[in-house]
Amino acid sequence: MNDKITLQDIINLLVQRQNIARKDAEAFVKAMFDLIEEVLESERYVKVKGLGVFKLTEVESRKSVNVNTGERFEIQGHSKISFTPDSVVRDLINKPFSHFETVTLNEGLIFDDTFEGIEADSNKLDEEVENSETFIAFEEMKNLSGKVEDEKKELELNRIISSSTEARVEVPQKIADEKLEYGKKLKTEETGENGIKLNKADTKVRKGWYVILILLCICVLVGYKLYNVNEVEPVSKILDARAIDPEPSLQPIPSKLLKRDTLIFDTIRSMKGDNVSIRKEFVGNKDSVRRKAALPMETLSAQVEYNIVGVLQNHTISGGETLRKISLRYYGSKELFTYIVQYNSDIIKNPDNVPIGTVIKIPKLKQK
Amino acid sequence: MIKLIALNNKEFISELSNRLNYTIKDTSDLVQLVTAAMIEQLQAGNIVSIQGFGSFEVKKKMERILVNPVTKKRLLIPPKLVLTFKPSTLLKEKFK
Repeated sequence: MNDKITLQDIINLLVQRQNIARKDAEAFVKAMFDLIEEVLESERYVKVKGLGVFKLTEVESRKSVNVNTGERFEIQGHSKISFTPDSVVRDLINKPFSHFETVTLNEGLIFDDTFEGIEADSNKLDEEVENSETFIAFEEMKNLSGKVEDEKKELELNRIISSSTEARVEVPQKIADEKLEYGKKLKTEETGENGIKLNKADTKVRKGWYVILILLCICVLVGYKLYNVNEVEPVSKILDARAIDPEPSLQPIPSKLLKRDTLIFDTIRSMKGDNVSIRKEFVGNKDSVRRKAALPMETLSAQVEYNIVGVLQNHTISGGETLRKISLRYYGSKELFTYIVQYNSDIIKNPDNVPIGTVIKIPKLKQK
Repeated sequence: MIKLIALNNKEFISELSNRLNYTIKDTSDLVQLVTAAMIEQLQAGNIVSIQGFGSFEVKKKMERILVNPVTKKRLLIPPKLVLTFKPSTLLKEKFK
């Protein structure tokens, strides 16, 4: 696809198919195009059967303005070569699209619908797909809210809200992707011609947008309904929680999450009583970190060079850990992670991304 | 007019056969072969460029909506593939 074919390639093809000497084929093709050129010069018109018509057309001299200087000047009249392909050739080239026909549009038809005009039968299928997809939307929302539930344990209302809004955005996108792919499949099945794929891409993209819009609408509708169902919950609670909510503008919390949110609000309320509890926990965490850091030997300075002398201990990387954190824990300095990388060069392929569960050896360092 | 075009094609073939000392039949067959090979390549989406002459390329025209100025009817013109010829700069200069 999209290779540049030169005259040489054409000659090669000719030689392969016909039993002509390469020299003859070359001479012939060259003579042919030379002659086209010559005849064009003398007669201003050449018709080559099976290719098309080359014609010289006059371009009248016209006045123009130099864009840079604003100077007026005249473009001299000259001849231009125009080429019109043979009707046979034109049809051959347009073969992949030949099944398209010019359609008269009805009055008051919106532009977007014009595509449906062409693919009226595929439309029905699309609708069916849409229905099933709303179902998927439900399922996915459930899943996502499940995830959110886990996060809830972290007692971070902010994150819940932001992640839930994220989730909302994610859902339609995912579905839109699926839908797009599905649409592609549909189309190729329908036409049964893979060759057209590239040209249909634009139509697909437009359709994709259309679909995204529809799905967004559906999501909003579903969300609104569920919101109404959950309205039974005491509104005062929600309002109460809103007061603590640092971003009250992020108002419509996805209905599905509402129940859980009220739970969170409850916990927050209790926290209101002893506001310090979170902080306490935080401090506690820090303490534990410090204790861990103190656990190894003394804090090593990053300013000096070290030699690696044996293994201090094995360490299994768990989620959320970085090599820098590990270094901080064992050596008391983030900068010394390079020694870990160096020592585990056979295990750590990419220091920026070490998979969870990797067992690395923490080297024992001794000052040089 | 049509007659003149047909004549022109014949003239072209006969002139070519004169130059190469081929029979007219052979020449026209060969011309057909060459053009067929070119079109085959073009159909595959390749660009056929002939040095010192120009290049042939298949281009895609997007679908568009056309309004008949008289009837005000709107027509959707489907997308299509067209063969375009771009003369080489050498050839362009020659005819300027």
